[in-house]
Amino acid sequence: MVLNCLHLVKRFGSVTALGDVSLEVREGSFVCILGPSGCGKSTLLRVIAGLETPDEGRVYLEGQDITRWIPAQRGFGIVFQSYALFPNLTVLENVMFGIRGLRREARRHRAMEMLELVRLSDEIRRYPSQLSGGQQQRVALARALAIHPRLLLLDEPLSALDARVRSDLREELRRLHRALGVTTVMVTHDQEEALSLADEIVVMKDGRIHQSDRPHRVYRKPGDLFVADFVGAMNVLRGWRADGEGVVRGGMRLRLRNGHLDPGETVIVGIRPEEVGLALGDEGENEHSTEVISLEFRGPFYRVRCRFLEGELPSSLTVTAHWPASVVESQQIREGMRVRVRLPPDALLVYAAGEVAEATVPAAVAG
Amino acid sequence: MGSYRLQRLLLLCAGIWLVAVVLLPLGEVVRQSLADRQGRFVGLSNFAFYLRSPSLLATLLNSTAISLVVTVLVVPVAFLFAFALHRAVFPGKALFRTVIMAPLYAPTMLFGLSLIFLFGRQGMITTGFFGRYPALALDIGLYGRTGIVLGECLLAIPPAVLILSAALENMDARLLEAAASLGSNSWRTFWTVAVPAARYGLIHAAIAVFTLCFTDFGVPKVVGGQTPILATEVYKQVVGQQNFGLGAVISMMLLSPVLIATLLERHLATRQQALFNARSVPYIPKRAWLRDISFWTFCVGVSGAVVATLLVAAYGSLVRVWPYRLELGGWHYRFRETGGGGYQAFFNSLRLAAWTSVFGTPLTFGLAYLVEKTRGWDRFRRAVHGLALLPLALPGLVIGIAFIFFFNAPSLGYGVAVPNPFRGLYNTPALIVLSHIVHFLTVAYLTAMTALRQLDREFEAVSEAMGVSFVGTVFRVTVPICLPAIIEIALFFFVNAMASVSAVVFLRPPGYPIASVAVVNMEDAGDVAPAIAMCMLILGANLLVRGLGEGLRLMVRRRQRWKRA
Repeated sequence: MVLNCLHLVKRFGSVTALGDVSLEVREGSFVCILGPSGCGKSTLLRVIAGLETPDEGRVYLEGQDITRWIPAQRGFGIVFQSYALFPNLTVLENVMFGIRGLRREARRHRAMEMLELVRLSDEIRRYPSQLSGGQQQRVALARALAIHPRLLLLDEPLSALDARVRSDLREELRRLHRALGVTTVMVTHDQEEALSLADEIVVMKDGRIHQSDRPHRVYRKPGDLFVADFVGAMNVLRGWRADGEGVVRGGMRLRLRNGHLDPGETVIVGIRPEEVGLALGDEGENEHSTEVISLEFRGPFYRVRCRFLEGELPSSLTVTAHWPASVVESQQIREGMRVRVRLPPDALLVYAAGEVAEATVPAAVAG
Repeated sequence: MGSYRLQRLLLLCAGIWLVAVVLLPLGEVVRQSLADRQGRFVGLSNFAFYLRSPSLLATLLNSTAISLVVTVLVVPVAFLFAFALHRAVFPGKALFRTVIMAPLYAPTMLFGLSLIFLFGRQGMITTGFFGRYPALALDIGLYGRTGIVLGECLLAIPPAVLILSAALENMDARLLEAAASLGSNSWRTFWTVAVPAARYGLIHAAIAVFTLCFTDFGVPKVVGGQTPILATEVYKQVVGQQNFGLGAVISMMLLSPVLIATLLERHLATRQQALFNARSVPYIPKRAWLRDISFWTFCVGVSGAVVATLLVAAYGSLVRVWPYRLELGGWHYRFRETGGGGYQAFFNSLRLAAWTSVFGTPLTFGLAYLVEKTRGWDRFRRAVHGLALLPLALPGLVIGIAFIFFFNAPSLGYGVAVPNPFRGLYNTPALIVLSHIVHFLTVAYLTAMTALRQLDREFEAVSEAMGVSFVGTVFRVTVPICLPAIIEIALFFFVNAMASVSAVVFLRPPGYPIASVAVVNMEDAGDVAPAIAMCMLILGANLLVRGLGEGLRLMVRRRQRWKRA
């Protein structure tokens, strides 16, 4: 482990920004700290950078306790959302600013190297205000990388950019990470960014880590309802009772893949909209009749909201499905139509009913 | 670790300095106001004596009444003036803006003296233009309340216009457009949208005007006649009768309303910030002939009054013997056969103003930097910030008296008597420079603060992470970016140190003449023409320096290529 945070606690007055947070970062990995605003993710980054001192807990770098080190001793590169480029210095001067202990020629050489890496070597005489937002962020990256950081810290680096530039820069970040192999910790509130960039995602809320895992595991096996809801869209179907092989709700029954539930326990069932199937053939397992209550065109697919029927009567339960546009159009699905939906056992996630989205139960931390 | 230690050491020094030059001298005034002539503690009996004495009580009532009248007169005029500049279409707005600010560059005595030339016993208007148009002769009975109110009105207009302009500028034009789209006519929009939206500005301006009048010394000194007011009374008690105890009591009377008003204003300022959002849309007025011509006439009238006062002052300083020999010449600018110190005083003032600027500018900028841009010691930093804001509530007269008390005391007794380490400063020009810096500290500090707050908050964090010391960042980044604000602060210190009389009138070392005090002395001796000539010299020097400063700012702006996208 290159970086190890143990039981970090940070309070600002009565607000607990970090409540016992532990985090491990492997050499060369790209870790994304993901969470809604105010979840403590930026505080965690600032504690790692040395810009805040934790009230409790320790930070280790390669086994060495660096909790009390000042930022300069740590030698980390930081990129902020605001870029924080010095407006009165040129691109080259900005990148050279932090390089120290070398002769001017060598500093310049090093800075040029970095600017070539972010493909800005033609803009070195310009001032930040003469560059686009994406270019400015690349200068900030070059400046942070120029000091050979042991760790690269990115605080919402893409949030101030518009969508197209953001996706370009996302690729750029991935390319740089591959090319340099520098261990990177990025803070973001954008789950798409985290899913596409990270080797490992750390989901935070209210100063606590809810889940920490590889991106596809966070998406497929969210540790709790909060993670399920925050990363991607999720149908939350409440009011089920465990019963042998599956769960029941009124007259409805769902079979689960591995149901080790205590009979009688109330549970919540989750399923991602793209996993909800449209059943066309003969009636099969986990299929239920519903009535379409709304249709929303989303380009490649339709977002279809369906209400479950109990016999002929509408129930209080609805589910949202993403069905390919071609299917919806060829089946001529319209509002008010009866359709059968399939909830495949493999795609169903089950959570204890006591655990609501605002759960305070300890997060399920998977290695 | 070096960087942090240095920052904290500097912050500590700044805190100690502020305590030594603001808090301790002020504490000395409070202590003296609670002591008798022998220095024994007598509680509030000085105040009781003051309030029982009808003549002393009258000074308090006079000061309050006059300041209220001026506030009621000036604020609406200034609001209409600022409103005209923002909401009407007519040429010459830049000229109006410049002309209306001229009074800020002159010693306040100038307005009293100019009024004497207009409305005094031998005044131009009192005598019907020297008997040429007897039908127009009008004696307004200048000396006393009338004169003070007239003079204070003239010099209170510029700050009121400045504050109200800022308030109107911040207003969101979309409010006015929304009102118009709902079919509201312009009269109704004015009363239901514009005035309420500027209400914080109006309160703010009212407080500023009241404070200015309540504490001004120059105008009542010249045209106050037999009307006693606090500012002249404290001068009389301390300089004339050496009655420091009563001087301290009157200082407290001067201080308390100002302190309350300032606290109220700070409270409003924080509320106001929440009211405006950064995305306000600026208002661009459309032409409306009737409105534009009426507003233009109004602006011509108001700035005309200011210009007329200055022109009469200039004329009066050039006339050989008012009102008998009206030929023009430079006789009074030779300062012969009059006290005050003449050109020696003028050059001393220039030197003091320069030193104030040279020391005050880095000091206030550094102070603001340490408070705004460093980390750690949050409570101490907030305390330093509070101390830096305090001088705004201190009238110059009170600073002068506080400095006499504090720097002249042989020992500082707070439980144990310590020999006063600062006593060497007493009766030196250095103490005057220090008093100027303290007097104008807050405004300069807030200017620096505003400039620093516009910088990215992460500059320091980025530099720190890269291992660049904050000193390097300050000189390579912070100072170059803030240069326009720094020049503004330097000019502000110079101009005010040059024109200000209130603190220096108590602190002038013997044998060291100072221009603004010379004006008071010459006027005391009845040499009105040389007094106003000295005022004109001060005004001229200030306008020249301001002009040079503007030139410098233009050059800096040209060099700040990075600002242009």
